[in-house]
Amino acid sequence: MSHAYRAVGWNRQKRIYDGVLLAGVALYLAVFLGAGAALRPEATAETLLIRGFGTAALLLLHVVLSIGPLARLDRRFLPLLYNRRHLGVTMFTLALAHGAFGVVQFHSQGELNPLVSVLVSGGSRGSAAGFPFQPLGLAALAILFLMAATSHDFWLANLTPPVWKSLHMLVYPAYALIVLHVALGVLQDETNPLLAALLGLGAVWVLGLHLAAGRRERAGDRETAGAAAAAGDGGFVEVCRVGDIPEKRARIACLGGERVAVFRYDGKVSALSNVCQHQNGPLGEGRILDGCVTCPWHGFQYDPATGASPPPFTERVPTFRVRLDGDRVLVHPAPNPPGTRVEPAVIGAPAGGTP
Amino acid sequence: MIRPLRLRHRRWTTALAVLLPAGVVLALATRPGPPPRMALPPVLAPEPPAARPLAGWDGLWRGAELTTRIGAVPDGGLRLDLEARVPVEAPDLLVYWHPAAGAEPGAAALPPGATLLGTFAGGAYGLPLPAAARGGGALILYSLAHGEVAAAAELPALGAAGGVGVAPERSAADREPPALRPSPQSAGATPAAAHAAGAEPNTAEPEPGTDAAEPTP
Repeated sequence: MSHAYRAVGWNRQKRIYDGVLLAGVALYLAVFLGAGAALRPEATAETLLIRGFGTAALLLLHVVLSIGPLARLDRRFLPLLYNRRHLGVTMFTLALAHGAFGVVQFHSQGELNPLVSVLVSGGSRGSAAGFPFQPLGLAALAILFLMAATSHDFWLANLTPPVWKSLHMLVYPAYALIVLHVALGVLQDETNPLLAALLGLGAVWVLGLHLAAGRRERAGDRETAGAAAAAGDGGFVEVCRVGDIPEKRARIACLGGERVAVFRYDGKVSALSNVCQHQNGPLGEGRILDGCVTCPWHGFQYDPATGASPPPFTERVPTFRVRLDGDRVLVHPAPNPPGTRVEPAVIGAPAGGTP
Repeated sequence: MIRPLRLRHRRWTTALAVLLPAGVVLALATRPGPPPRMALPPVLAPEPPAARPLAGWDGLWRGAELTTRIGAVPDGGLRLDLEARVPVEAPDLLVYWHPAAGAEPGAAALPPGATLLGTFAGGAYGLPLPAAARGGGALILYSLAHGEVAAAAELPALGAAGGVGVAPERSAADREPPALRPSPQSAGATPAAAHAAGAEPNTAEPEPGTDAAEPTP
């Protein structure tokens, strides 16, 4: 391992985030258990706990899965993204409690090993209605465990962000397994149509958000129009006009198959990779704070001219050569090695754009 | 996120948007209805002997709304029928009789010496009551899964002619007023005692033409 472990760095925002999260979970469980005991007096405490933890985990999973696309569609949701991993770990803990109570309640009194019992008992794999739903939940729990166990930045740094992100995209199969676990499990007996409607609405909400955000992202992945005519400008591609870039913000272009963030700041223009080295967040959707490009997801910062994080941090992203031709902003699509200094193009300077 | 991951993300969510609703709809569409009432072969579940109605009550139970009927079978025994007017929401119910001790709903233990009569699943029919039940006693509905008494009733003594009498060891005034329904045509019944206990006429009637000369224990 090349990256040492460092404990979570707590700050005020994380404490508030986690405080609200834990209070919300405690409130939900209290209301669920209280209302359950009052409305269904015949239900045992074990049943209420199993269902309380299970529904809390399912609800939280919907929240976790909604934050990403919501933040893509509306910047106001970005603060929720900041500490999303703590939501995920909390959700896993609730799911684990649900599973543990279920195993103790239904599988611990027999001769079989309880986990073996979960895998082999009940149902019929030959029919939809009788399909054993518990192995689906167990498989989902295994995925959630893998994600929770690797959620720390230690694993993010050592696995590299693309591998880490690939691993954490397993949350989608886990979500599908959980929805089927519910549909083939409790909804086989609880025939109140409201419960089925809530499950369906949740799936429509999550998948609808992801489809909408994906559609928007696909538009951003279209190669910038000037790319085809690049040869005439010495390989440089026109990405936009200077006036198209708000001050201390960026315009994102797709060059050579990847996104490039072109920042305007203090009368200058610089271009660097749109991909943050921390968690591959979209740098071009951030802004320049204290002279540094600041990632909108977790606040990682880079010098716009060098692509390097200010000391003592060591993250680096590729930079791109920039030229101004009058009002036209031209970027060369070949990335420089991460951390390579590129002189910013100066707005209003003579042709060429560099001082 | 880098472009290949974005592409994979879009493919996965698109696939989920198609497959997941289909899976949920299939799961909900094929969920089984209420289990059919399967009659056991006569060898396994012989029809209980026809009984001549002796007595019946609607408000006898605490903790459940059951109609209780007692009948006399030709061999001189007693038959107990219980029918739930409101479903009893407790699992694994068993019916017990005890000659004297009652029990309160929610009690964790059965009184010592309680006699198991049979199971209760929405109702119980043709349960054999001991002859000693003619002198009254207590009926208990016990949830084996919850390990507690789900409901209980004080069974009044049956009169000499098979009607309703006063339970031994208790006077009518001591008892809770059950919705006791003595058989008006039961010769030798004690309607006065029943009315003293706040009873109402019963729907259960002896078969016409019988004198119901049942022996009294």
